Amino acid sequence: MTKHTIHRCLTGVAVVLLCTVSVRPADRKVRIIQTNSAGDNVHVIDPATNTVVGVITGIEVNHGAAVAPDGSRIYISDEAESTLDVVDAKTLKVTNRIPLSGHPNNIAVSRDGRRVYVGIIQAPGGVDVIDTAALKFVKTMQTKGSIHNPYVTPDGKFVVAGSIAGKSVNVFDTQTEQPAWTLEMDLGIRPMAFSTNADGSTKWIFVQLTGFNGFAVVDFATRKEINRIKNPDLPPGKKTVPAGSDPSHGMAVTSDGKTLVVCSRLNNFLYGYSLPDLKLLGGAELGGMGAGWVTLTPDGKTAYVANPVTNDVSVVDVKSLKEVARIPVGFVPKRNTTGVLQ
Amino acid sequence: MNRRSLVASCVLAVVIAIQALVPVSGAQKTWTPARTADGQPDLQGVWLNNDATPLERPRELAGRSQLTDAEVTEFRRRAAVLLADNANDFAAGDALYLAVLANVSRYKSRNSTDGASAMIEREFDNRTSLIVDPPDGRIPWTPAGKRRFDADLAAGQAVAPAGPEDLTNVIRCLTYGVPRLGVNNATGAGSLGYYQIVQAPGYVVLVYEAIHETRIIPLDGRPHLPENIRQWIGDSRGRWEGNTLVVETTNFSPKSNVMGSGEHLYLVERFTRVAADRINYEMTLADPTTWTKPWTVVIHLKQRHETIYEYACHEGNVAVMHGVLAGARASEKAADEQRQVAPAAPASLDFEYFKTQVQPIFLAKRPGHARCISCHSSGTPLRLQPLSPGSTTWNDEDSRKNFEAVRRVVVPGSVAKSPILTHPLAEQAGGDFFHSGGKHWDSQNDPEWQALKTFVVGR
Repeated sequence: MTKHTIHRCLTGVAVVLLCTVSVRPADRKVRIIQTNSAGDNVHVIDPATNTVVGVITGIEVNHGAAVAPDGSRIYISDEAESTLDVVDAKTLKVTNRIPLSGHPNNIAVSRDGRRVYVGIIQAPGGVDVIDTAALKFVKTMQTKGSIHNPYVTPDGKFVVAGSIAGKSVNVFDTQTEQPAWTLEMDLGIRPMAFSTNADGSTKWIFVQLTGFNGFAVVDFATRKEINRIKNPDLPPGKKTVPAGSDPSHGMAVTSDGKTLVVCSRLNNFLYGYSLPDLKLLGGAELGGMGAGWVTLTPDGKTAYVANPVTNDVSVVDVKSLKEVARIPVGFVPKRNTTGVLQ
Repeated sequence: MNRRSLVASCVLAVVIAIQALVPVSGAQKTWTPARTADGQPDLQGVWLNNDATPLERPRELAGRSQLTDAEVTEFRRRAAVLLADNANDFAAGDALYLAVLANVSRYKSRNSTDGASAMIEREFDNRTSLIVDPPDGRIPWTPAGKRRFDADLAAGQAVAPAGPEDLTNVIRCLTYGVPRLGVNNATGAGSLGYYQIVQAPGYVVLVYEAIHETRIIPLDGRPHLPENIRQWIGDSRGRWEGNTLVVETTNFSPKSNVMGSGEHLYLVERFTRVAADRINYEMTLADPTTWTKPWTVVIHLKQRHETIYEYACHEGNVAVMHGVLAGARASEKAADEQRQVAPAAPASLDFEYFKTQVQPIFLAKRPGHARCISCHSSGTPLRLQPLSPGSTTWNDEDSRKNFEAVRRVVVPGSVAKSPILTHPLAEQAGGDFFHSGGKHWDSQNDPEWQALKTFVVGR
C-alpha cells in the first residue's frame, strides 16, 4: 500500500466517521411527506420552496407515513402488500417490507423512534407494534374494532387508536404496551389531534367523527367528551364537495399549542380554531378539492392540505388562513406528515 | 386392495394422525362415561352442535388457528348485539361468525326468511375453524369437487327453478345430509343442530331433529350393503374403540351432496363422551374425486335437557311446491308481459370476453397508478379474487367469481348507468365525480375504456 493510498483511505474513514457520529442540524431538512393512495409513489415536498424534491417509488396503495425522529428513515404503510415499508431517507429507496397482521391504514412512530404503530383496518383489527431496531413485527395490541388511525401523544406516553367500526378510542401505555383505557362514542372515530397541558401531558383529544362536519373534544384526564364543535355552514351560493374523505377529515395543532386547524372536505375549507377557547378564527377556502388530511411545518406557520379529488396539496398560511400555493402530487393524495430528514 | 379399502386405509391413517394432534383436555383424561345395561359407554341423551366457529377458517384469519381470549370476548359481545336486534336477519350456520368477524353493524341476507329473534345464542371459543386437518383449516378441493359444491350452492339460490329437480335436497326436504354440515354449515350448527342418541343392545341410533332423519347403526360387525344399493345418508357400521364410538359410512347416493361429494364419499365419525355434558364429535371425510386428501372436523356436542320435536319438512310440501315453483312461474309470466311492452333487452354479458379482454385491465400497470387489483382484492365493494402467489392471471374458477362481482357494477347496455365505466373515468370525459382509486382514463377514446364499453354494451 503506497503512502498516497493510505492517506486516501484514512480520509475516507474520517468522512464516514463524521457522517455516522453526528448529523449537524444544518444538514437536516424539513420535508413534507405526501402519500398517494391510488398511486405507486410518495412525494417529498420542500416547504421552503413548495416544490416536490423527491419521489419514493414502488409502493402501490400507500396510506400512512411517519418519519423516524433521527431523520434516517421514512415509514410507509403499504395497503397492496399489507406491509410496513421502510424507506432510507437519503436514497428514498425501500429497504425493507415488514409483514403485518392484516391490511393496514395509518401509522405513528414513538418519540424515541424504537417503535412504529400500525393501525390494522382488517377485522378483527388492532395496532401492530413494529420493533424498528430489529425491523420485525412484535405483537398486535387488541382494540375494540379495527383501526383507522393510531397516534402517539405529544408526551410520548400513550398510543391512541381510533376505530370507525368499533366507534372507540383505544388508549395504550407505550411503556407496557397494554391497554390503558377505552372510550366508546356514538359515531365512528376518524382523525384525531392533541393539545397539551403546561407540563407536556395530554390535555384534550380532538376527535373527528363519521358523517360529522366538525369534531368532538375529549378530556384526557376524565376520559369524557366535553364539547362538540360543528364547522361553519357554507355561505349561500357556495357548493359543497359531494365526495372524497369524510365530511371533516384531518386536523393538527400548531407547535405553540394555540391553534387547531381542521379540514372540511364538505365545505372545501381549512378552518382555524383558537386554543384553548375553541373560537373560530376563520377559514381558508381551498383551490384544490377534497381536503382529506393536514400537516404543519415545525414552526406551525404553514399547513399542507391533501386534496384527493384534484391530486394536489394546498399550502395555507395559518396566520392569515389563505391558500398561498398548490403543489401537484400523485393520484388521490392521502395522509401527509412533517419530518426532519437526514 | 380395492378402491374402498384403499380409501379406508388412507382415512384410518389420517384419523390416527389427528388423534395424535388433537389435544386431550383434562376432562378427557379423567372422565369415564357410565355404561348402558349391555355394557356400552353411555352416549344417550339430547345433544346440540352449537359451535359458532365456522367450518372453514376465514381468509382474514389465515395462519391463526386460535383467537385470543380478548378476541373471543369481543366476538361474543358483537354477536350479542346482532342477536338483540330483530332488524338483523337470521344468520344461519357460519354466517353469524363471519358477520361478527367483519364487525358489521347490520346483518342482512337475501336468503333469510326470519329475523335475529328466531336465532339461538351461539357458542364462541378460541378456534378459528372446525376443520383441524389440513392445518390451514380449509377444504382441500379438487377443481371438479369445487364445481359440484358451487353448483349446489347456486341451486340453493335458484330464483326460477323449472321444477323440483332444480332445487337442492335441503330445499326439497329430502335430506339435510350426513354428516350434518350443509352449505356453509347452515344445516349443521345452531337451531338445526339437535341430535338425540339412543342405544340398544347391538345398535346405536342417531336421531336428527331436522328433518326427522334417523340413522340406525349396527355394531355387530356385519358387512356393508352391496355396492349397488345407495342411500341418501349412506350405510353406517359402528364399533367401539375403548370409549369411542367409531362409525364408518359408505354407499351414499349419487344424488347426495355433502360439500360437493356424493357416491364416492367415505366417512369415519368418532363420538367420544369427554364429560357428562360434552361429546367430542370428530369426522374425517374422504373422496379423491372431490378433495385432494381427507379432511377432518371436530365439533363439540353439548348436552341439552330438552325434548326434540317434530320438524315438519317433507318432500312435496306445500311451501316448496306451491310457493317456490308457483312463484317462479308467476315471475316468468310477469317477465313475458313486461317484454311485450318494453324494448328488447340488451345482450347478456359475455364471460369469455370478460376473461380475455376485461380481466387483463384489472392487472394492467399504468404509470404512477396503483393497479385495480391492488385495491379491489380487499376492502372495497367491488371485490376481485386475489391472485395466487406467483400467478399472473386468474384460473377459470376465480374468473367466474370475478365475473359475478363485476356484474354488480354493470347495467348491460347502459354506459351512463354502469359504474365500471363512469367511476374510473375522468369527470370531464363523462365520468362521475370521484373514485377513491383515482381516475384511470382521461378520455373515452382510451383503448382500455373502449374494451370495457364493449363488454357493457355487447359486440
